[in-house]
Amino acid sequence: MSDQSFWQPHRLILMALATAIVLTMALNMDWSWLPAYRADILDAIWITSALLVSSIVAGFLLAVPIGLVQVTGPRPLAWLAYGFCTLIRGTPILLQMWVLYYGLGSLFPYIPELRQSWLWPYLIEAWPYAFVALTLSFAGYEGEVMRGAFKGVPHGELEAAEAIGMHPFTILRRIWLPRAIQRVLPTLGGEFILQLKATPLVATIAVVDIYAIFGRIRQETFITYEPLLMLALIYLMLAGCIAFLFRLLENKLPSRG
Amino acid sequence: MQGQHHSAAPVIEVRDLHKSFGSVEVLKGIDLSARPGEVISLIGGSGSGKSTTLRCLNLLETPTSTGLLKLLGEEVHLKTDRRGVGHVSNKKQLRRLRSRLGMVFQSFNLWPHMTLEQNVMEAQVQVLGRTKTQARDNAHQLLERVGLTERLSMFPSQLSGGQQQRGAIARALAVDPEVMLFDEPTSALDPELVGEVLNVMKNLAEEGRTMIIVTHEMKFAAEVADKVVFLNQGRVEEEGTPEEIFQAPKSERLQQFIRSVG
Repeated sequence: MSDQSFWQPHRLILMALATAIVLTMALNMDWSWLPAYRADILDAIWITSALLVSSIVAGFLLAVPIGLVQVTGPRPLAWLAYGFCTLIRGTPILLQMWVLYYGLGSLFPYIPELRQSWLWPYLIEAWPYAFVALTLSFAGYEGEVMRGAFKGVPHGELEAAEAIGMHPFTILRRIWLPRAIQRVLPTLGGEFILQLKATPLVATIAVVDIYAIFGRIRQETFITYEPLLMLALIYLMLAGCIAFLFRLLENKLPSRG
Repeated sequence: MQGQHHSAAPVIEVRDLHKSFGSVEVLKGIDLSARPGEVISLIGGSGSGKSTTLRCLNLLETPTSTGLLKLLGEEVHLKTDRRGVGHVSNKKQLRRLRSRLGMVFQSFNLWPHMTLEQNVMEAQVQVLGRTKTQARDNAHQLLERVGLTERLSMFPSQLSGGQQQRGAIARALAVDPEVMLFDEPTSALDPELVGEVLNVMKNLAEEGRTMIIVTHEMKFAAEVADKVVFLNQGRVEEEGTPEEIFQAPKSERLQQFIRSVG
């Protein structure tokens, strides 16, 4: 994009409007609470980001085999994967999180072996349940996406690899998986943002993410709109980061053949 | 090329090859053999089984049964699983043999996420275990031979069909195959792009490469092949030198076929 096309009249007007709105908000609204909570907010942003990134990474690592076995078989595994995806996609993630935290989490104390194990300090915290629930949810949705992606790679490209004597795992690693991921990249950006917007649910099981922090700020300061606006801005910026990263990534890759 | 190696053992030898898709038998006992340096054209109408025959040679299709399937001097054994699907018994042997048979497809099938250079390097590194430097040098030589030196850092989607197919030929040549299999390599090309691909293939034939070519290009087959095999309804109807097949066809089917394409 050249400079000329950037400084167009309608852009200038929009920018002036945006500046005016931000200035009005900054000057006329009550932001006095902000300094006191700055450290808490930064911590909470870190918690939200960590939950988001870790659940995406772990969930995607699960989604690849879940998608793959539905295309290649063996059949029992394909059915299992299909059942998992159906269950995850057919129930609210809030319910899944509560089943894990209040259901499973409340059963663990009755298992004495568990209480002595190294896992116990983690099992009495809330965040591992949040992490597992977010991971399973992402794996369920992306497993379905990856199934379609694996299936959509033209068979001839895989045949060419077979015909030249490649090992099936080499084909998967070098051809099939990269091609499948390339095909879902535009979808994936949207899915990452949806995952970001699923993270506030962890506040319901006492994980202090940004959503929870702003709830506390509202309770303690009796201010309603300013914290909510701030919260919206933070989510917008996080989503913007994801969208920006994906745009960079898509520009680096060749167009689909 | 013809004649000079005819005493040598065949590099590909198939006897009584059968293949069914479901209840439809598409190959009804094919015999075929290729000696080193020989160029064989498989011709026939659509549905005659010529592509299936070719795909059975590197086991992209598993034959339903064979009397004998001998590739590069090694016999390949088949087995049938519980659901009645045929497999090659020894997968490792199959991969080794496939890496010595180059295959060129009608639809090119270059890998779109790799540049042309990477496409040609890939199997050298992943299958033959060559270093990247060796593979790159070899890729540059091969791409020069097919006239694509200027395009080596382009992706397949940026190339014309003819360029893609020439690239696919370079990719198949990269593993130094002893036999090249061509499955209608010009059928998906615009007419004006056919010539450049046929030229590359002609050069390969003149180098003395063993080639088996499924093609609709009768002029090319007549010019380049040592032996032409005419398939009809899953059987070898007639085979012989290009002169015998095109100038003096014996069977009525072949006479009809030549009239219809000529």
